[in-house]
Amino acid sequence: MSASTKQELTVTIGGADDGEQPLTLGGAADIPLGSPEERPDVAVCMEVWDTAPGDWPGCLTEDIGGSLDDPVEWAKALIDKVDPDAICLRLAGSDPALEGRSPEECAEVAKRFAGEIDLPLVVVGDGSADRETEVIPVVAEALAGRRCLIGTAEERNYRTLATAAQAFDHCLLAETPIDMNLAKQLNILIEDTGLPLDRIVMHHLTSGLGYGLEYTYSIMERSRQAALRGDDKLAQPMAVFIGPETWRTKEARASADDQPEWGDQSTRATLWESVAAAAYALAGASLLVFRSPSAACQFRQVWD
Amino acid sequence: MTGLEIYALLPQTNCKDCGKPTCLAFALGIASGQEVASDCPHLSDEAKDVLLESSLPPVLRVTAGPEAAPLELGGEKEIYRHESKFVQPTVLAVSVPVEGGDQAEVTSRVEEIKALTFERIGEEIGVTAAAFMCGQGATAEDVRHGLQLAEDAGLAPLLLCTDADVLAECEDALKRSKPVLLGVDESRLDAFTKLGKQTEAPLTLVAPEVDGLVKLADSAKEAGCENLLLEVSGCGALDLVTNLTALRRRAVEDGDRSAGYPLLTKAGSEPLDILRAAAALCRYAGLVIVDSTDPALLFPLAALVQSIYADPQAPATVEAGLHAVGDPGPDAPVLVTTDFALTYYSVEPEVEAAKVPAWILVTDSEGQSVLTAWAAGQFEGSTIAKAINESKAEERLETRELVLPGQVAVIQGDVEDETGWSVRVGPREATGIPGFLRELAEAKTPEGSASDG
Ligand code: SF4
Repeated sequence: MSASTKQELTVTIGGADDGEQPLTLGGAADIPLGSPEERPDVAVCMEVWDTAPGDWPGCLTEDIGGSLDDPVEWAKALIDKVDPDAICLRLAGSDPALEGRSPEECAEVAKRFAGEIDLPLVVVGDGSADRETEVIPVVAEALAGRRCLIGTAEERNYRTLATAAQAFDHCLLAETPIDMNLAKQLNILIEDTGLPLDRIVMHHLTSGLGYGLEYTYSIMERSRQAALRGDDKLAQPMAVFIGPETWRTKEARASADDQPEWGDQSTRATLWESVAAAAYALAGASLLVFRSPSAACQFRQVWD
Repeated sequence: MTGLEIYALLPQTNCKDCGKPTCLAFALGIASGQEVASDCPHLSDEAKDVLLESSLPPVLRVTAGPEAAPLELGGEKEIYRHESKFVQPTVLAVSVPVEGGDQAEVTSRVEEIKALTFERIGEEIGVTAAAFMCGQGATAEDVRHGLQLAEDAGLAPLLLCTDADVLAECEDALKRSKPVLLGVDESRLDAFTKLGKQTEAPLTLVAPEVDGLVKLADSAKEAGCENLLLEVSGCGALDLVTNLTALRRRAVEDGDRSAGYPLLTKAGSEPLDILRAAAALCRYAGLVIVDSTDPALLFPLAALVQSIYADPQAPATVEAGLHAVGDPGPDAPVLVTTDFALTYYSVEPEVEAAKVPAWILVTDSEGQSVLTAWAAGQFEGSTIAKAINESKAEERLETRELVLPGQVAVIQGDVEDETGWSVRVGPREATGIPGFLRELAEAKTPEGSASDG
């Protein structure tokens, strides 16, 4: 990991158990497809919740199939359909508006899930930095040995999460709001806690297609260029969470009855997700988190 | 070129006719892109050749289409959009099969294509070109008919017709419509360069490899044709993007003029074809032809063009002040948000969908979203008070209550102190607005007067 290496760093998650294939992210030496040699592997990761989400459109839940009440069953349905490189478990249930689970209860859920799913895991909280500070360290301990990608570390909670990642041998997802300098600063702060730079994956805050992708896209391209110039504080592989952003948009949620001039909802919404995925892969992402299995399969078929 | 290299080519008389005090100042201005060489009236022929040539963009500008609806392509300078921005948004075209005989089908297809427009963030986006693909039976009459339809519909014309006799017969229509001529491979180069020179219609060159394409462009130039496009199609997405990227890099990094033409790619009619087209347009395809009129396929593609060709340095904004949605009265609810276009245009359609007339008070937050502006101290009590003052909201409205975006509920007290208005915390997501506004309207029916001081 010398500072003169002018390429993206690599981060490996999973692979700690016998039989589980580790997943290595990053390592690019050019922009994606900048030359015939630069054909990046882009990891497809499927998002699963620990509790049934209430308001997902019917075309999405039908696409997933199976039951959304049980995360293991949900994950297995996705594994069947997509054969993903990783699974992202979102512990949404700690949100008091949903299950209001305690950190220990979350850890219990995560442990049972990890016992059933032998793929590399991304494990994130419910999106509240305060609750993640409580929940994620306990979950990290319960998943010690799996080398998960845990998150989400932000400016206000990175210290606790980085310490947990270090203590229980996980990698850390570091998120900043579409800003190179903040991303670099957070990486430096995390490194200062003792977690090495090749255990960090950056998230420049994903935006959905038509909802800010134009800014994230360029921040990601610029990060890659910084990595290629030899800046190891911006050379971390990048993750994007396309699924959640896509399924918030009106263009994915509106039915064909609401918007007849937009055409079939399932076709449109699936492409809204897969098109964003293709754009972010070209901007330099190495880990794409999808919600829709059809969108993930479309991306896979095109990116081969 | 450096300033000194340019200076060496100038007359060095310091006559000031260019508006600069010295030739050196002018040379430095050209080097930094602030001056154009043609402003010096005393350039030698040699200097003209060199300087004017070097001021052309790496991807040449190419024009097509009838006078009434000209199509501009190319003019691109960058590999990375963040260096400045990409210039000409990718043109989306839909193919129209022309088999000869059945003009009604062609007419209805063009009608369908014309309808493929979508409103997003205050802009109209969508398909702006029709590609007439002539089969064996197509006649000169069919070609004329198609070109005329396109012109009437305001769509830029593209034409695939490889029958030299048919083309010769409708040269008048080609001269008038200047369609982008498709499918010019090596075997057709001679005939088409002649046609291109006579009609000024641009030629789309096709060759199996990047090198072959560049060579073909060389030959076309030698034959006197510079109004060219290069087509890369018929391969998987990764090869497609690799080839398009190789061409742009050759044009921009190596200054290879024969690679510096607008790029075109053909996609099919399936979602996977759309995804390939999406990848291509992120990486430099200036014209994409799709074989479908399904809006569910074209809307995502059009939204991607809008995103990639936005200026990443200058966020799109809407005007600060009071915006009326659905003819609101002075006592209608007032929702506050920032001037970032993506934010405003996620709020506005939801207010519209609620069918509750309302005002949207837009703050001057330098084009940042609510959360970003809040983090930067540009969406707080004083910002909102300023928006109220400058829009004269207190004179125009009776309402003294603001609806604050749910993500920034923490500034409720600050906003109340700074504005003197009461503040209600609204939903976190724009999609919650219709339900919220309807509930608010119900609570405000004459009996249900809500006053909690
Ligand atoms: S007009 Fe030409 S010759 Fe005169 S000062 Fe300017 S650059 Fe020099």
